Amino acid sequence: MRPDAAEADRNAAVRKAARAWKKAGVIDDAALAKIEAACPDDRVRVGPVFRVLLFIFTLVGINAGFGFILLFFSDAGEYAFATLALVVGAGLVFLTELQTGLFKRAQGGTEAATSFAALGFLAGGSTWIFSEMMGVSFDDVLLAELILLTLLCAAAAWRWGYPFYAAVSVATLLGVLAHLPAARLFWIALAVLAAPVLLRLEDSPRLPPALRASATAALVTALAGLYIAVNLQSFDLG
Amino acid sequence: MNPDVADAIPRLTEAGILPPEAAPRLLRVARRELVSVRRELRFVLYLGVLLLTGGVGLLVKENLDRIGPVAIAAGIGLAAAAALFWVWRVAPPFSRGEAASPNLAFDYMLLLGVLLVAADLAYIEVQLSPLGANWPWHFLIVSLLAAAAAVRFDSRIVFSLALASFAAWRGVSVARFGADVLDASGAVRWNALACGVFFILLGLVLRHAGFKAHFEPVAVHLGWLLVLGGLASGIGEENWPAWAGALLLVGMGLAVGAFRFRRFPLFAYGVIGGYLGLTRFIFAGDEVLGCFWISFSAILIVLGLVFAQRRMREPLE
Repeated sequence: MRPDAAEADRNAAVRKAARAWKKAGVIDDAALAKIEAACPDDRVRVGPVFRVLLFIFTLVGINAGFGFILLFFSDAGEYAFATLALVVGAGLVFLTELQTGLFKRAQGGTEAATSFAALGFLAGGSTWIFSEMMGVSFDDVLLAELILLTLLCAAAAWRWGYPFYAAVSVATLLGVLAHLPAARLFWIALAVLAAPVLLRLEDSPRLPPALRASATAALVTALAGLYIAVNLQSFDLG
Repeated sequence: MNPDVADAIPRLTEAGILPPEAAPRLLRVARRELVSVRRELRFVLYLGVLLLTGGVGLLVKENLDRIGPVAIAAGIGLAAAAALFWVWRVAPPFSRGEAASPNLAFDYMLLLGVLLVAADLAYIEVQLSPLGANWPWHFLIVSLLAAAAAVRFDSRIVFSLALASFAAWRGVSVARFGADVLDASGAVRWNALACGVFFILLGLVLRHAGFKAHFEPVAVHLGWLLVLGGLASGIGEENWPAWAGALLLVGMGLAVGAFRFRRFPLFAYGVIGGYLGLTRFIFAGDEVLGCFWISFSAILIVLGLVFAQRRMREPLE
């Protein structure tokens, strides 16, 4: 994460705790105001309802806009879709960086939507390239996409601090490992090896709260993989 | 552990912002030496209620021939009575306003008792048909019983169950609405609209009268969802312009009203409903215009929402 975003995230955690203390009656309004002054928030944040609305409509706008532009390239051949998807995906990455950097948005809905759409378009464009333009088989396309998504989501979680991407990254990694022989053992090994590291990262003071939450999300996903790997029903289903 | 909060507590205590006597306990919470499991307990209790009532249904279905209808009805009735008796014993005195639950399990035991009563009545109706051709009236009976329990024992969960049962009595069930919403007959749609209006008015009356005023959001939210859902179900019909127009006007009106009174979820319903209504008109045209409209209008909505949230100032949590 950006250093300024990480600092803002830390301050936000203290402010959130302070609001909980106020609700519990431990501190009064004056003390809450002093804590908020001591831990200032320079980010643009919105409440949960607006966050959801902004996320939904931003995503709708991006996808509809892409569809609209694609209509003008419908005769340009199979390269048009893939190229356009990759260009739009890269543009959305830049837009997300702009929002989280220059415009200092966090918990704003729009930057989450552009990040989500960016990953979608990058994955979609690359899938088209692998399957339609390079003629790769379905299984190989799937494997390539899982590897790509693992890397993209891990990078997104690290840069933007969304725990959801950390969970998806681990889930797609499990998907990659599922292609290997003795996949079950790899799933177990992943959880066993990653758990101590992720547990330490969960409580690490070096990481801001968003990245600690990402470590938790990754850990939960890895443990879910472990559960599936050792579950009797998964043996029955093969 | 929350290292940032754990680091901040000593600093804030030294600065005199945090009371020194509170600091040790807050530090234990920040270091996760003291962990609240309230949320997890509530979730497990709710899950337990759902599993129990589901299990009762399954038990009845698989053992009907062996146990017999009277024994089953009596068994479910006894279980419901036991749950409600416990609730009655520990319940605080009746209050016109909000009453604190005596313990964590109270609301869930009440919900369990009411659900078992509803299951028992449904079972008796299926087996013995006391209401005959008027069998839907059993939903009204369940609704009235649940409403009485909700008011006496101050439970919003049971109040929402009462409202849902009432809507079911009027022929609007969740499953049916979800499956047939685009083909919903006129009767179902008008029932949904009438129920929705009734729930909204009920909520307003409760708040105005100061009688269980905290039930108002339950009634109003469900009411508006029924109204907007009822109107939206008409946008696939032949006379869709009337329904789409109504959805647009009602949605916009709701959004404007909710903006004024800072009712954030209602504002969201209004924006989405109004947008759907307007988009239906645009989609009557061609696909190029439709795509352009959606992308352009979505950007306008985003800008409008950014403006609106600055005025409404929704709390972050």
